Amino acid sequence: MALNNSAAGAGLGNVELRIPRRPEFVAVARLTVSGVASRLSFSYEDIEDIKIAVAEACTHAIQSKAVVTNEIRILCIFDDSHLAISIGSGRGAFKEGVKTGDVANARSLGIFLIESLMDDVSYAEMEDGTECIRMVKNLLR
Amino acid sequence: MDIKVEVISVDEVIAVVEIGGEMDVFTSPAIKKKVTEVIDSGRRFIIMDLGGVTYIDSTGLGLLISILKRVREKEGDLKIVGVTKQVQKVLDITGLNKILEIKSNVGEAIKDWH
Repeated sequence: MALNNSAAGAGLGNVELRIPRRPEFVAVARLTVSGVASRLSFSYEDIEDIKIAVAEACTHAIQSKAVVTNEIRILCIFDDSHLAISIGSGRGAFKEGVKTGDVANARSLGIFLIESLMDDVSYAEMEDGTECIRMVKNLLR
Repeated sequence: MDIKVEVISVDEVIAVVEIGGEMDVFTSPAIKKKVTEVIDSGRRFIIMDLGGVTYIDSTGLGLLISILKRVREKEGDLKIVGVTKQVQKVLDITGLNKILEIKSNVGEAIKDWH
């Protein structure tokens, strides 16, 4: 599946952020997406879940040995029913079948956390070919 | 860096490490360095007080597991106190609540070792 900015369609809109692929910028991504989620009236608990998922995806990209780019791209697409966050960094970090749930391995634990905290998780490509993880949180009203 | 690490030596083998701030991919290396110094100084019974932790992710959890392994190698032990709601949720989801021993306060944690 290819994602692009127009995918927001008739929804409320989208927010895109690019950060350096460095640990000190993960909090920037986390807090920015948290701000988006709070504008959409997600509950405090949902926002906490989203923050962890965003940080885990960025951390996964940072720790990937396969990635050659120095940038992480974060694309939030939202409407009045959900927030979809796509996070990617070049190619190689996010592929189908990423191993999850190994407590001795923080990277696989991170993907396991994402899958536990978000309503839907899939792997996709952005319009520029960036491989990404796409995480959806539904807005319950 | 949004992290505070305070070490309180209880005696020659027990130490309390108080963490304040975020335990993530950015801050975990500094926490690990400090705790490793404490363990290498001979204090192999460690209490990690997470009462001031505002956020933890898989890197922070991985750090706790690596501390547990390190103290066990030295025939020591690790206990966690001051677990906040966010930390507890992450521990529960990952199942680490069954691996890491959680106590209600420092006094309870120390009592088991005396």
